[in-house]
Amino acid sequence: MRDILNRLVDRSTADHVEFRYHRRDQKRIEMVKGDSEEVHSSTYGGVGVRVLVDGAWGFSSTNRTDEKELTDTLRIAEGAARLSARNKKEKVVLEDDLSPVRGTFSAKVNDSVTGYSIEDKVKLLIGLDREMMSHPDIVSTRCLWNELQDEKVIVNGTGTDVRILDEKVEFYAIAYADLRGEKVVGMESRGVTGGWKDLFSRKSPGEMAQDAVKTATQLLKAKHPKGGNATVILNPELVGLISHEAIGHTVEADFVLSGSVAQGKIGQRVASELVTMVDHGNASPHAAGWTPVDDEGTPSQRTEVIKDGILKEYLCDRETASLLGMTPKGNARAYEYSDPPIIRMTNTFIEPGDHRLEELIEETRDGYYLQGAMGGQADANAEFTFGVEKAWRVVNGELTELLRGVSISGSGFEVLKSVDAVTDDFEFQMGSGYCGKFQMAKVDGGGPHLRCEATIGGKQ
Amino acid sequence: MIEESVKSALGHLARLNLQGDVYGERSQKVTFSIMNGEIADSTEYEDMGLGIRVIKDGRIGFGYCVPGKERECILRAAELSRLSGTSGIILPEEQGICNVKTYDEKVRNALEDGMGSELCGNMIDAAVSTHKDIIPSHGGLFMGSGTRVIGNTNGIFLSQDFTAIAGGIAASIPGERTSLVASESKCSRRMDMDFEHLGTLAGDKVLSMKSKSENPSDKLPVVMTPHAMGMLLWFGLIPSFNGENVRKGKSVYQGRIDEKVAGENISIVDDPTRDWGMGSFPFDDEGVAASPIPLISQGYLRHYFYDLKEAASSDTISTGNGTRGSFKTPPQIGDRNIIITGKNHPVQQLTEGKVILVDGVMGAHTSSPASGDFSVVANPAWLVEDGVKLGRLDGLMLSGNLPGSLETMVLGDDYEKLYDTIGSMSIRMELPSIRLTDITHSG
Repeated sequence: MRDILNRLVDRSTADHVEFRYHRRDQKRIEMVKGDSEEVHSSTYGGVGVRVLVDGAWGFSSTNRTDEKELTDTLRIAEGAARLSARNKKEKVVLEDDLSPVRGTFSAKVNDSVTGYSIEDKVKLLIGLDREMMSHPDIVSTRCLWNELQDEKVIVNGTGTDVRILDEKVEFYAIAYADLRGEKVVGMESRGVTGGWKDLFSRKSPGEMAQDAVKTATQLLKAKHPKGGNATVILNPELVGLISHEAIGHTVEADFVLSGSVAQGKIGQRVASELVTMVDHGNASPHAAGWTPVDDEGTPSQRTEVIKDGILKEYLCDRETASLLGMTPKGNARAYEYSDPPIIRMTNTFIEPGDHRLEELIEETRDGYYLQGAMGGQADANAEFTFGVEKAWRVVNGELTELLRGVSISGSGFEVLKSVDAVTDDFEFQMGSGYCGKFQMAKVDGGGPHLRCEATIGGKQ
Repeated sequence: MIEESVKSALGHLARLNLQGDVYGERSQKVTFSIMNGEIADSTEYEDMGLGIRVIKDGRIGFGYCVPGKERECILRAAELSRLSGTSGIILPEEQGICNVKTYDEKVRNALEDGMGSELCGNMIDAAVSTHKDIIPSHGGLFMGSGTRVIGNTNGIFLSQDFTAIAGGIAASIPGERTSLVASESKCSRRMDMDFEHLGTLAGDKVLSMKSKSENPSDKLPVVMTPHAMGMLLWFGLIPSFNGENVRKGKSVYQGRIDEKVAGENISIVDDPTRDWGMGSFPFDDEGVAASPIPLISQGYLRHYFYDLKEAASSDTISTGNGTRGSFKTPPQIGDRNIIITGKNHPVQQLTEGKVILVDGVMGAHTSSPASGDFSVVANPAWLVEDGVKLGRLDGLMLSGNLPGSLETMVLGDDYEKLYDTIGSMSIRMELPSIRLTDITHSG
């Protein structure tokens, strides 16, 4: 395959050409109330071709990988680029100083999940699901397993020729309890780059299932919160979600150029001086957004988006880095062979500080300790709304009562400006999720705990 | 060619003495994306593949493949079926299939002639021409055509061509602290879209956001545009008609068939037989003949919707609501073409007096289908008096109960077709603007 792709790169008349072969093995198992709902295993792949012709991008893809088909696909991509070029006023220019990257990059995998049969995994999930269902308060359960083994070959006109072998795995245990017709949910999930031992390094599958049940049954006794502005302590998952959803998207260079709230703010204070926010595809070998080299062939580097509260950098691909005078640091990513690379986050997090969590709670007179995210949404102005799994009322330095049905909202940058304490712990906690900007992407996020001000949505 | 691949797979199933169905899809797509007032890139590709469901001893195995790999895929799916629970699923047999218009040769020709670039450019130019400060910040144009094929070992073999065209554009006015952003999008199966008009609408909309009003302290009626209402209904109400949610107690409508649940003039139908509907097709993705499913008729709850698998679990029959995100995903229950009907009022009447007009919501995914409660941020939203926008409203939170709102909602007459995708599921609706009087607003 690499020989064919290199031959086609040489043959192309485009100003720049990239070929990306991507083969994916996926296994997905879903259990509901102890019965298997879905067991599926697939292998698929193909080649995506992106070209720059007359200052415009064109992209095409195919799932047939013979040389003739790939030649045709290259011609279609070149045709698409010419169509774009007709109405393109600002021609795309790429900096020429990108060094070619060569070699093979393999994920660090402890105890590969490929060493376990699908029967083993089904048996595990059935056992966990039935164990959760055995609790008298639990009315429904769901366990989910998803694993991806990817092989990518990226060959482009700058001489880059890399092979990436990646393995990512996700696990969810979800328990539902019934509160007079209203469902309350306890969820434990984790997603990593790596294998079995990496996935279950914090908690065993049994402990995750037990904790999901514990949360659901605790929430049965919980009340709804009173809405309004409040002091909140965010756990690492919510810190990751704010970093990704509310801030991260606004600093993606395509959105910046489109007028996001972060446009023109480089060098300005956008957060408390306690906040340093980073995106880095190689931050941890087991973070779910591990991306050693992006799909344009750029090696991953640490991007300090916010340094001590000052906005420093945007997340760029090669095109926007040229436009903005920045350095591409490995954020051009495509989910499948049929997707063109676009600017994406990888592992996005806030650096730890020096408070201990216990101190933070003890110092809080009136507020909430928020744990776990139940989905989120944000806009180009960094306005966000997130669901929260568990909210503990904090009164005079103590956790008093548990609340349910909580949401938080606010402006991401205003919330970060209000940060007055950052803890010394750190975890990636968003690895089981995906980002859905135009196409899917495996990402991770996290950080320490933060104390800040936000709006609590409630029904009291 | 996709028809031949489906036939080949059915032949393999027969030779292996297996039951099952084969879903084939071939599609050709062209997209143009807009960034910062320009066409940023163009993609063009053809995708083709098969999703094969094997049923062995009542257990289901699923796999997908490209044409030519049918036998390997079937054997793998059969192997996986051992690990599934028994389903009781019964595949459909030959039925009468109605005619539904889903294919417009003009879209196909436009796609082949490469007209997308010009149409996308027209949309950008129109937005820019509304005001010098406006930047068409993002958006795009999509044109596609293809063929869906479904066959099964009970003799079903159905095929239908389709086309689709969609455009969307966000117009923004950059500001010091925040940017003003408003978007417009439309979709169709026919070559009947006016892209210039779309650009102008987006430009006019963002201009109307320049002045700001104080968030009202008095409780006011809320008028939701079709786009805003569509998101709210799709997350907060439509899942309550899903047979699986009903069986599992996750629906506010469980056990309430024939109860009065809405105002007497309100009907909600899932109608995939409507010509040119974005979710219309004469058969579903499991080969079940399409028919209109009245969910609520004249205020009374009449039906839930089912695919084959859930129908077997709930001891009923499929309503033709087996849907797939693509050939790569097994069928799941989904709505096809949701339409709300009733006594329609001229849309101008909805904004008489002082009202809040909402064109988008954030956080609809946190709505609870089990209770119908929702709490969302309205964005963009305006304070409106007698149809005149007085100013935009920032940070306005809305909360309420959707099933409760069905009792008092007032429908406009400005129906729009909506299409969006959330993961592997699609939002496909036809809705007018709707006035709600029992919404709490704060912020």
